[in-house]
Amino acid sequence: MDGSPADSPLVGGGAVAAAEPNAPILVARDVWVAVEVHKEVKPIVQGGRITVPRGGIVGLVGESGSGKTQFVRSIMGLSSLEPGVISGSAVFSVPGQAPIDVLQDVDDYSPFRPPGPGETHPVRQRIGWSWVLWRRRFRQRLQSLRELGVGFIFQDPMGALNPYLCVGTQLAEAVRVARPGASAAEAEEGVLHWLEQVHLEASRETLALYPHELSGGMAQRVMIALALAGEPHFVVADEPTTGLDSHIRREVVGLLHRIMAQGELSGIVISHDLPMIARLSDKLAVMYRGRVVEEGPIDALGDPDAPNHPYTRELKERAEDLAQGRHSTRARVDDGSPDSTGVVADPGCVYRSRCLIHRLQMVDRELCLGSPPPLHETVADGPQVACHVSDSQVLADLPSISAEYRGSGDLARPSADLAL
Amino acid sequence: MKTIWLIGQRVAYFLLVLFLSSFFLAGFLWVSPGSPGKPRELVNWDAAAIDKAFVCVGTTNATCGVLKSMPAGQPPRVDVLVAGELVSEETQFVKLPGPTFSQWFSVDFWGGLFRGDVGLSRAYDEPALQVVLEASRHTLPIVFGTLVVSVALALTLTGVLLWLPFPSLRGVIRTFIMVLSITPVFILAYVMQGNGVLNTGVVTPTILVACLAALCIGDSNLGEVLLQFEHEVRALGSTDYVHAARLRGASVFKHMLPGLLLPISSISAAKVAFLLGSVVIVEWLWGVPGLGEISLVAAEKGDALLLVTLTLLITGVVALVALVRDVIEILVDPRLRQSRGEGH
Amino acid sequence: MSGPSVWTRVVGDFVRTVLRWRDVDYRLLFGGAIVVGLLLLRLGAFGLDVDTMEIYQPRAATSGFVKSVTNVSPNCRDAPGYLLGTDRNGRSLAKTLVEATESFFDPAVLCCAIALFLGTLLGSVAGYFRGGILEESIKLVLTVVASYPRLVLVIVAVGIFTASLYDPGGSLGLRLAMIATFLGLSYVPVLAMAIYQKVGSFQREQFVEAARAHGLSHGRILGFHILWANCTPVLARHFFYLFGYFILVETSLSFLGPNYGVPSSIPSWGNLLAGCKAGSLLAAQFMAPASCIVLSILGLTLLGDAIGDHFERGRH
Repeated sequence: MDGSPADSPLVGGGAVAAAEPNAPILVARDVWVAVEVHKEVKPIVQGGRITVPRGGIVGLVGESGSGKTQFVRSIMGLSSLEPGVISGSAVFSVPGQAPIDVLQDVDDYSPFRPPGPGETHPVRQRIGWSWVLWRRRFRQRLQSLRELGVGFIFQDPMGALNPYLCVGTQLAEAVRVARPGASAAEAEEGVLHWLEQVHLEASRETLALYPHELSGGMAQRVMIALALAGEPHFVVADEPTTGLDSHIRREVVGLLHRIMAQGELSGIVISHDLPMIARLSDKLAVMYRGRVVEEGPIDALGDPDAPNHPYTRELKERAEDLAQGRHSTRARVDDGSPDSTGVVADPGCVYRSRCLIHRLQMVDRELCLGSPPPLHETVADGPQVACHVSDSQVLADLPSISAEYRGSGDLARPSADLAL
Repeated sequence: MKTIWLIGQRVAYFLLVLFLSSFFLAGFLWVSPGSPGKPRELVNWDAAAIDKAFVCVGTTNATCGVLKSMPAGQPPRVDVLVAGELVSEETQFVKLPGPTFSQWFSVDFWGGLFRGDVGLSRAYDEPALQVVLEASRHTLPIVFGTLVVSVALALTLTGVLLWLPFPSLRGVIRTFIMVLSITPVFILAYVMQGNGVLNTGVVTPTILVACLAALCIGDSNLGEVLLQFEHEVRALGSTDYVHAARLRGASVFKHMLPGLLLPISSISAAKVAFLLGSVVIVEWLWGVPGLGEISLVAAEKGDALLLVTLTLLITGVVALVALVRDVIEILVDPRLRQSRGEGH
Repeated sequence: MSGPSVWTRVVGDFVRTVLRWRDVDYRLLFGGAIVVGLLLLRLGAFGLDVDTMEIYQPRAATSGFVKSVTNVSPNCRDAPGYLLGTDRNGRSLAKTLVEATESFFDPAVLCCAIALFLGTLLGSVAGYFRGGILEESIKLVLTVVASYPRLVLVIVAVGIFTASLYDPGGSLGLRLAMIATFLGLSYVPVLAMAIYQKVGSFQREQFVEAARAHGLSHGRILGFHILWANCTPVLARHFFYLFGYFILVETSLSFLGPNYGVPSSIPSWGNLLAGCKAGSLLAAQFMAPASCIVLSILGLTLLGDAIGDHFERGRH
């Protein structure tokens, strides 16, 4: 729907040409992920897209419930397939090897298809036992993906470490994957090396610890070491600092910065912590209620005049308020609708219930209600925003407009003539 | 060393449970009104007991009454020594005062247990310990065989169910197995036998296999085991560390194995007691001379010594399996080995 | 206050699920139908008496050597006017089936009452007053009782207890009551452990401390706030499980013979199965009692499952 042909290096299956050296390591387009809740199938990621350049880190931002974790886990094959991914493509390419479209043909074989115009839920389509065959091919493609070398840093360090095995065993296993046939001494050497890399005490005592004996920060570092010991080309860090104390958080961020940003590693960092994203990533992607609403360079985060999507603007303002410790007096648009998290396929723009632009009718209201806005640049080399506004000045001036309504409660009441 | 201490604790608990179970049974026998007497034994009664003592005789202790003088040659009868003289007069029913608690729960009993001889079983006229051990030779293989077969079957079915991509088909299979499994064992046995007589009196391998099959499926054995396994395996498969292992390319099986051992052992421990109960029916039906038959006969004939020995064995087996489960838990799960205060 | 009681919610749920097809929980429907059916059968059994039922006698008595026994036609499938044929004593199978509910319904209620009462008592005391000798000793006693197989315990205990009776077969009521009592006692550990875990998890929550600080007595906190407000679904679930289990045990024992369950003159579903010499498995003589047994146990177990799943807190 909104993928530009210039982005995708691979079209269709079967092409076995090796990837170009400059191709992005991951190009995901039009990914729909659904979940079954009380016998209803609801989409939680709608048209998700992301482009990770080689050697670059993309920071994926969004509030909890925006679908960012599900999006990334689905394209890495870490979530259930029922219903799971129902549409899309996710192409991983590493130089010298054929690109892999992990979600190849899922549109044709999935039991569901994304809702068409006028529909709110994914619709069941007729499949047969071919779905089983697709699943097998999917698993084979995931296997090839693993051979390319990918790592995942999970959100909950305690959950991601096997509680029955000690740290040394798990790390040695990861090292052996990268170097099959390593002897016990070589494996241990590798393990100690990685422990040093994550600033843990590289000693036998540490290796003999069990996960329940580690503190939160230590467990997080062990997980980072586990993800990196496989020597991956591509790493995903899913909320790596949530749940950690602030001083540990700083250390972990520094560690990640050193390892990810300064190496040949590409990856995605998922978080709702904007300063961390700003430090770690080269590119920014913002998700709201299952849709990607902005994609662009990281400068768009720090630059106050950048033509950001209104939601990114809202996030930036909140982060500023938090950093300065002041209670927000900015205008908050609220139409009183429940803040449900991305479970209905909205025919219009998902953000309109909180959008100042829509509320002040700075753009034609029918557009916001009618169709989801496509991602487009408002200035050259600027961020791509999913907004019907094409004038970058309007977007850039948003803070001053909202400042006019500072402290006023007018915007917080649903307006009578607004058909939301 | 912590491991040894924990295991030692469990062993001590096991012995305590064993002791207490025979204690409770002996106490129950003592207080129950049907306390079996010892018919057909010569008893010394003085004349004052006539017309007062209430006694019961017969194989089922079914006939009871007040001791009176009895005529000779008329059943049922009791030969009674009254003041040193054998008196057999008009039949009435006799009951002897019940044996005391310590008659079947005493140091003699426990000493005899270690010596290998606790006394003669009244119902079988053989050493009670031998009777019980001989019977368990038939029963215990059936029970443990059933356990192994049900666990293996449940694991296979779980694998199939988790692999199957169609939820409705899964639901159908699950419902079918549940309905089949909830059938009582005796109905299953009846169906398997056709309409013929069940008790053939000869123990053949076919009969043993049939016992196994009926026990494995019926009385909601398979249904419950399958339900628990599916739940555990599904939860295990969706943990982050299994996903992480799969992503790393590490052996998923190696990561799931400790997590699987725990539910397998705990389900087995829970099912052993249940199976020992259901095996009674199957053995009775097919004439296998096992623990079930022994317990039925002992209850019928009021053979208290046999009952206590039997209890010891059955409770011992159940408690032993529970002990094995505890030991497996201690060995597999490191969190149990931490002392209070460590860890975060 | 926790809101409407469990039973109001059960009926309400039932009505809602029947009217709104999309959300129906089939277990509730099926289990509810089975429970209603059993109740109806039991009420119908009040009006029947096995001794006054007529015996099907197709052949006219031959003169001379008359034995009423040869006129009886047991297990006759084609008896005219009889819905399902005759049972092993020549009486109407359908009526005997209904009458047979008498032999398990009332004892099952007794059994559940005993198990629920003692199980709740022991489990809640152990779960509430933790960390002392009381908790450990209760758990020990429960483990000991649980390590004995229930069926064997029931058979042995009933055998011993009724051995002193003048006519053990005749005092049917006492025998069934004994079976019910001992089965209930042997189920106590299961129920007590379930309540123990539930009460233990609630006891650790802060509202208990707050309630104590406000001066509520232990009894009020335990009895009302923890048990009545939260543990009622657990009790309901086990009530239905035990009811189904009692049916299983009673029919198995009656099948084994008059020494273990009801005597052969009293109808019971297990009895009917033991005595049926039907030619094929599809005959009503086998199919009717067997399907009654299977359906009742299935329905009760499913209902227990469904009630537990829907109403237990802390499960979603």
